[in-house]
Order: sequence, then structure tokens, then C-alpha cells
Amino acid sequence: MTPLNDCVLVTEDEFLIAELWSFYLEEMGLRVCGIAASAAESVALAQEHRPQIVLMDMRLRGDSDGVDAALEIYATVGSGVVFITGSTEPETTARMNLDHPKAILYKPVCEVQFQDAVRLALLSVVTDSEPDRLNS
Amino acid sequence: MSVYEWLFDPSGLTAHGFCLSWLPGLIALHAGSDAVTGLAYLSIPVAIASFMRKRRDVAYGWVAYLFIGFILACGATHLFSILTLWFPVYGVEGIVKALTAVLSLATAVLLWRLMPRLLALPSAIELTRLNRDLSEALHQHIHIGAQLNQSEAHVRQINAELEARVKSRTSELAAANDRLSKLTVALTCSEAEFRASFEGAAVGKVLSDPTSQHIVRVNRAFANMLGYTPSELVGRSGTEFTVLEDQPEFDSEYARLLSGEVDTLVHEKRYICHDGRHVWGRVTAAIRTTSEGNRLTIGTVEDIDARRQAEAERAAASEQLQRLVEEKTAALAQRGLLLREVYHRVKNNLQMIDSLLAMQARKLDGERAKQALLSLRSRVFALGLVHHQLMGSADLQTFNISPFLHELARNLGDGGGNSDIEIVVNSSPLTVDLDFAIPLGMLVTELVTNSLKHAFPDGQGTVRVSLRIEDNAKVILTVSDNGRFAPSPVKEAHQSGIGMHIIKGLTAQMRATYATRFDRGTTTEILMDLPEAS
Repeated sequence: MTPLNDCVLVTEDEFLIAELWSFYLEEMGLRVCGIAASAAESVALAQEHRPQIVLMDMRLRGDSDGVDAALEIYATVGSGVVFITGSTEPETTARMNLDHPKAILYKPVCEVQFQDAVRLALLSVVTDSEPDRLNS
Repeated sequence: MSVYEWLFDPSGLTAHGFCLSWLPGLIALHAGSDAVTGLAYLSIPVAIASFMRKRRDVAYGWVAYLFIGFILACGATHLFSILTLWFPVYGVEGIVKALTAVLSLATAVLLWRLMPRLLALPSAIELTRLNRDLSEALHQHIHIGAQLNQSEAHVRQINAELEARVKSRTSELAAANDRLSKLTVALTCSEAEFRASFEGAAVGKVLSDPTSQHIVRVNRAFANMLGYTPSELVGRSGTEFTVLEDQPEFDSEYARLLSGEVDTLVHEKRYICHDGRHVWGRVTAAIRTTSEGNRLTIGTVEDIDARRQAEAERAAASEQLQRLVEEKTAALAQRGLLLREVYHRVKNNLQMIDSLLAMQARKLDGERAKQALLSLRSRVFALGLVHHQLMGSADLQTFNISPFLHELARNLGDGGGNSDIEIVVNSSPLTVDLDFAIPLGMLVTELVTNSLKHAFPDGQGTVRVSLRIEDNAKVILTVSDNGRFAPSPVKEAHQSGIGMHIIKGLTAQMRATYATRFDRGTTTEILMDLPEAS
């Protein structure tokens, strides 16, 4: 499988929130390769840019939710997925856990929490897919 | 020649000794032998006679006397032979010999003729054997006799026992008879009682033929129940008055009663009244044989119409209740869903406000302005956190304050951007609702932010947040730091115009009192009533 790129895909249908996540990511020195507002868009952008991390909102516009998109991305691209959700119901958590998530963040999310989760997810993706890069 | 001569000297001859030439030896031999023989012959008859005298039971005894005669004769001939040695009495001797001959011949003839009869006589050995057999037989006879005696005694005993048993059985029978007659009396009485109770019973009573189910007799209560008079019902079949749909089930129950599978039938069915109404009845029936030997079905029919109606009403009410509960449950679930949706949207909106503030902060130049926006973001975060806790709670109304305080403190610490300042939370578990949690969260946010801003110019120290319950009536919130002697929140309030204002306003809203003291740091204590939700 082709290696993943040093970028992050943001999936969030609220523009203002997507802006905040982008702002946090840029502060970490990470590149945002796109902002997707629906599951289909997220899958398409992920397949195009092959990001190391996909930020995934659970509730999205359209019929599919974040887990549907995440499962397809996991299967076709292999990016690490960090879920960000407003729901705390056990059903939602169970559904998210279907997709071996790298992290689950519950809104409201503060900056430090956000950045810690992304950092850990990034580390885990790199270890999983390119162990050599860590050693070199 | 004279008879004398013939008798004593017939021949004129000499004696017989002469023929023997008087030879002394020869004479002696003849004389001696004849003498001995003659004497012996004389003694034998004596012995026989003596035997015969002693044994009178000898058969054919006269033969013995014949023997005696002929032996005596033989003896006489021998004695005459001696005489003739010296005297020539040959005539006498001849007569004696002739007599002997006659006797001998007679004896011989008789003996021969008697032989078969003598042989027929049992011998002594035979007699002994017979005797022995006889005594054995006798013995046996005695033995059998003893046994017979024994058996007889046994039979007598059995007889006696039998007699005793007959006696006791007779007395038993008599007792049974006595009881039976008493029972008959009682039965007669109970039959009378039965009639009385049958007619007078408040519940319906029916007597019917077990096989045809034709009504033999009913009481007034049953007739009234169906709206007839008793005489109108007699002779009609019970099935005429049963609602068609209820008949098959009753028939199968009744068949079990008829077959003897059950002793009593208990069944609920609907009766058709005279006016066409249906009435619920509870039948209890049994089959009995009367004293006349007739079989009768005795049934009791209770009017349970009111009960059945009540039951039906209750079932309907219960069903309605069930439906209501279901509706309520659905409404509750719907409410839960809606509440979650609202909380979700509130959180999302707060997150959006946070985004706006963050974006605005990036554009501002002044440090004071940035700090002000950061404070604002903390307050907004506290509001969002309350909704987050509510969403995760089971009733969507209350939650435990302890994890909320931990989460809030973590965010405040992170927001301050200084990881060397530790925030320690120590909270008792306390169930709170929105109205308590929001002002409390705001107060904690204001107090902790104040300490973080002013207490640690060198960027090191600890802020403690504690919440405890006192006397099960009061809640005490304490926020303290171990920083330098800080300006009072009052002063801060005057400076910023907002922190103190919020603290004052919220404590008043919560009907709480607060006190601040400065002693190696700042400690603020807020005392409030235990919230109702706890």
C-alpha cells in the first residue's frame, strides 16, 4: 500500500467548527488537506489525499454517518480516524468502536485535549504503517 | 377141641422156647427185646393221653385216641410173644394180633384219608408268622387309632374356632346392620334436607338426566336467573339454554364427568335467558346415584354475570392502562431523544461560539483583549460541559458533580497554558441538576481562573477545588491556592468589572454566602444549601 501523506482531513459539516479544528491543527504545524461536510465527500477526499489522520464528526449531512465513512476509509486508505462527537449514548460509542478509532473526543473539546489526541493518533499511525521511518 | 384148649394150647405143641431149643441166650434176647418194646409201647399212649388232656384244642383229637389203641395193641402183641416163649397160648396171641391188625389197619386207612385235612392245618411256624403279622397289624391299627384320635381332636378344635368366628361375624353383621339402619334414617333426613336446600337455595340448582341432559327438576333461583318458572324448564334439555359458542367446551368437560375421569365439573358458560339476554353462570356438577338407584346429574349454577362484566371491564381498563403506559413510555423515549438532540445542539452551538471566539482572538493584538476572550471561552466551555454531563445521565436531568468538576478543572488547567500549575479536585459525590450545576460551574471557573491569573507570577503552584457536604444539609465549595498574597477578587472585579460581578450575582442566585481569606494564599469558601436533586 502506498504510504500516507503528512496531512489531516477534517470531516465536519459546521463551517465554524471545521475552522476551529483547522486552526488547532495549523498551530501544531500540520497541514489540512481538505474539509469534508458529508460522508461521501470525506471518503473521496481521503482517497485523493491519503491523509495520515481523518477527523470525523459523527453526525454528518446525508444518510451516512461518520462511522460509515470511517469504515470505508479504514478499508481503502488506512488512515487513522479520530472521532469527534456530541453524542454520549452507548449505541454511538459502540458504533464508533467498530472502526478501531485512534481516539474519541466528546464536544466541548478544548485545545489541549484536541492536540493531545491528534498527536497520539499520528504516532500510532506512523508506528503501524511505517515502523522504519521511526527507526531512521 | 375146646375153646380153652384153642385158646391156651391149640396145637398141643410146646412153648416157643422149644423151637429155640431153650437156648438161654436166644430166649433172653427175644424175651428182653419184646419186654422193652412192649413196655415202650405201653408208655407212648400214656404220653399221648397226657398231652391230649392238656391240649384240648388239638384238631382231630380222636386220631390220637386211635393211635393210643393201636400202640397199646402192638405193645400187647410183644408181651404175648414173651409169654409164648414159655406157654403155648397161641390162640390168645393170635386174637391179640388180629385185634392189633384191625386197629392198625383202621388207623392207617383213617390216617391216609385224613392226610389232606391234616396238611391243611397251619403249622406252628406258620402260626408264629401269622401271629407276628397279626400283632404288626394290631400295632398299626393302634397307631392309626391314635392318629384318628388326634385328627378328631383337631377337627373338634377347628369346629370350635369356626363356631367362634361365626359368632363374631354374626355380631359384626348385626352391628353393620344397625349402622345401616341408622344411616338409612340419616339419609332419609338428609334427603329431606336436600330437598329443602334445593328449593330454598339462593344459587341455581338443577337436577338432570346424565345422558340426555334433560332437566328433571330446577329450583326457583335457577328459573329466575333465566327468566322462566321451574315447571317451564322441566323436560327441556340444558343445551337449549347454552350459548352456541360455549357449548363445545362444556360438552368436552361434561364428557369427562360422564366417563368418570373427573368427579366434579366446574365450568363457566353463558346461558340464554327467556328474553334473549346472555347471562354468565358458573356450573358445578356431579353425578350421583339416588336411593332408588337412578343416576342423576346434580348441578349448582351461580350467576356470575356481574363478576364477568367487572372482569371484562377490568381487562379493558388494564388494556387501556397498558396502552397509556406504552404511550407514556414512547413519549418519554421521544422526550429523551428530543432532550439529547437539544443538548447536542446546545453543545454544538457552544462549540461554534468557542470557534468564533478563537477566531476573533487570533485577530486581536492586545494581550488584555486576548485574555478577556480566553476567559470568555472558559465560561462558554463550562456551559458546554454541563450539557455534556446531562446528555450522559440516565434521566437526562441530573448527574454527579464530581466527574464534572474534574473535567472542568482539567480544561481550566489546559486553557491556562501553564502545565506547572497543578489543579487538584476533591469532591464528594453529589447529584445535581442544571440549575445547580451551571452557577456552580461558573463560580469554579471564575475562582480558579482568578488564581491562575494572579497567584503564581513564577508559574508554579497548586490550586485546590473541594466540594463537601456538611450535616447532610449544606454544600461547601472551597477554592484555594498556595500562591502569593493576591489582590482580592473584589479588587479584580473592579478592574475587570466582570469576574466579581459574576461571583456576586451567582452566589446570590444560589442563595449562598461566600467568604475569602488570605493566609499563605487565597481561600474562598462558598456555603450553600444542599440541592433538591441530591
